[in-house]
Amino acid sequence: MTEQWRHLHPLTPWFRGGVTLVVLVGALLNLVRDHIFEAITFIQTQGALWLLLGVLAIAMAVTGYSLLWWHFARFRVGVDKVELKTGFIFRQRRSFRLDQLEAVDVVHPLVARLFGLAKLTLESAGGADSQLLLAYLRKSDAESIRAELLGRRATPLGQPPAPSGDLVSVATQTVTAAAADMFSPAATASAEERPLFQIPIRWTVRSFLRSPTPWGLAAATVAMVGVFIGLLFWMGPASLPSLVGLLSVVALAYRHFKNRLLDEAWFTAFTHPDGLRLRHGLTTTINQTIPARRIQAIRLTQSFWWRKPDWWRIEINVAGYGLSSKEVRTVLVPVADPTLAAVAIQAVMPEAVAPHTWALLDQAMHYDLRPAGFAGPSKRAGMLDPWTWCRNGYAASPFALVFRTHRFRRTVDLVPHDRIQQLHVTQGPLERRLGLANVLTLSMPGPIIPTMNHLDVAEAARLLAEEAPKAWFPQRVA
Amino acid sequence: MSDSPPATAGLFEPPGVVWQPAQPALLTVRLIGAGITAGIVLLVGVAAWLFWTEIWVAIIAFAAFAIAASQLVLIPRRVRALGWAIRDRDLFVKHGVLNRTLSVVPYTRVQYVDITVGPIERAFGLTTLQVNTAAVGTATAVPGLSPEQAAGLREILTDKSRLDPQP
Repeated sequence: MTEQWRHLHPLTPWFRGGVTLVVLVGALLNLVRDHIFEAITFIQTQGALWLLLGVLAIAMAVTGYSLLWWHFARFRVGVDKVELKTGFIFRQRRSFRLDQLEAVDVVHPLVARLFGLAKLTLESAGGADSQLLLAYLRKSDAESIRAELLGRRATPLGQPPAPSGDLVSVATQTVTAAAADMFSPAATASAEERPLFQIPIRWTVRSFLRSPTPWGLAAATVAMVGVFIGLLFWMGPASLPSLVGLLSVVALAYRHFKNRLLDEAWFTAFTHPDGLRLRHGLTTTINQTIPARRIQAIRLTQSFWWRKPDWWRIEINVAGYGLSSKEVRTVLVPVADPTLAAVAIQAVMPEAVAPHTWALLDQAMHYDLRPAGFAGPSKRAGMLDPWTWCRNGYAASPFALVFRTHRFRRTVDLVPHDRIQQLHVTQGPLERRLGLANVLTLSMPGPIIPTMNHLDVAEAARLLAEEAPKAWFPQRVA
Repeated sequence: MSDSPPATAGLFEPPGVVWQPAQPALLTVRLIGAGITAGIVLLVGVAAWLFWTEIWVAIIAFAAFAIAASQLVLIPRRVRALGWAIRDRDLFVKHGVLNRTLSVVPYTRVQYVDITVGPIERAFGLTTLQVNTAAVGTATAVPGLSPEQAAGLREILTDKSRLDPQP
C-alpha cells in the first residue's frame, strides 16, 4: 500500500518567496550602494512610483513562481521510500530509499519557527547532494514523519547499525563531537581513550627530509633569493615587484612545511568506543575521530626514498555524513613501518589484517615484480605503461580487492568487496586499438579510487564478472 | 608482439546481458537540443560580429558554431551506443563512442533515484533516470526512457533492496 501524495505546508511559497525576495532586494541594494546619489536623483526626478512598481512586479513574479512551485511539489512517505516531485517545466521526481537512510533531522529556521513550521532533511551517506529536503512542514508533522521513518528503518540492510540507541542522535553526536574536537585544540584525553601508538618524532623529521618535495621547495626558494639579489644589484629598486614571486614560493614552502612536518608531529592515536582518536601537531594540536566501521578504502604509499626504512603513508576514504571534504582529514598515519601500519589498520578495519588479506598487502607492498598470486596487465600494456605494466596487479582475498600500482612511488590500495559502490569499465580509442581497458572501483568520496589501468580486455571482463556479484552484498556488520 | 589484440566487443557485450537501447525518440530530442544550442551560438556569434566587425571575431564565432554543429553529426552514434540492462543484482549502463564506459550499479548501493523530464523530452514522451549511490562523482544517468520504463526501473532500483541479502 502506498500513501497519498501530499502538498507541503501552504505557507511554504510565502517563505520561499520571501527568502528569494530578501536576496533579490539585498543584491539590488548592493548594486546601487556605489551609486546611491544617482539612485536618489533618479527617484527625485522620476518619482518613487516607478520604483514601487518595479519592486511590486518583482515581488509578484517571485510569489507567482513560488505558488506554482508549491502547487506542483508533492511528497509521499511510502513503505520503503520517500518520494518528492518538484518542478513544472523541468520536472523531477526523487525516490529516496529508506534502507540507505543515515539520519533524519528536523530543522527549525528562526522565522519558520514563529509560524510553527519546520524542515525535514533525510540524509544518506556520501556526497553533498545526497539528501532529500522536505520544506516546509508543520512542526508536529515533521516530527511524526521522523519518528515513523526511524521506526520503519528498524531493520537496517545496507549500513551497520549504530552502536546503541537512536540512530540519529548517535550519528549527530559523533559528528558534533568530531567537529567540536577539531575546533578546540585544547581538548584533553577523555576517560574512555586508551593510547594505541605514537609516531616517534625522529620518524616524522626523517621521513620529511627523505621526501623530494621539501628539497625541491628549498632549492626553489634559494634560486628565487639568488634571482632577487641579482635583480636588486642590476636594476635597483625597480626589481622590488619580483619580491612577489619570491614571497609566493616562500609561502608555498611554508605551507608544505606546516602541513607535513609541524601538523603531523607527535602523531598519537588512541582507541575510543567511537573509533580511533588521532591527535597531532606542534604549533596547533589537531584532534580528529575516525569513526569505527566507516572506512571505505585504504591506500598505502611509499615514495622512493622511504624504501630503505620501509615507511608507508596511509590514507583512507571515510564515509562522512554531512561533512564537507575540507573538514575531513584523510590521513590515517603519516609515516609507519609495516608493523605500525598493521596496528593502525587493525584499529579501523580489523578484517584487513586477517592473515589472508594481510599476506596480499604484504606482497603488494614489498615485491618488486608482480607477486605470483596477482593478476595484471599483459605485455600489450607496455606501449602505454613501459615502466609499470609488469609491476601493476590486483588480487582478491575473501574480504577485499588489493591493487598495487606505480614503480617509484609504490602505491597499494585496498577496497573491501562489500564497500564498493560502483564498478566502471572505461576504454579510450587508443586502448581499444591495443585491446586494453581500465577497471575502476568507486568507493565513497575520498582521495582513493582503486583503479587497475590497461588490463587486457579479457582480464578486465573477468575482473568485472568476478567482482560485480561480490559488490552486491550489503556491508557486513563487524 | 605477435599476438593480435582480442576483440573488444566481448567486454562491452558480456554474455547473457540483454541490452535495452534508448527510445528512438531520444535521437530527435538530442538533435533538437543540439540544434537549439547551435542556433544560439550562431546568433551570439553574428551579433558579436555585427557589433565589433573584425575578422577574428568572425573566425572565433564560426569556430564555435562549427563545434556546436558538429555535435549534430555525433549524436546518432552516441544515442546508438547507449544501453542499459537489468540483471538479477545490478544495473548495467553503457555509453560513449570514442571513450566507452560501462557502469555497474549493485541494487544494494542505490540511495535514491531521480526521474527528470525536460520540456523537449516531455513533448516526445521521454524521461531521464538518474541512479545515485554514495560513490564519488555524479549520478549514473539512463536517458531516453519511456515513462513506463522509467517507473519500472525505479521500482526495481528502490525495491530490490528488500531482497534477502543471502545468495
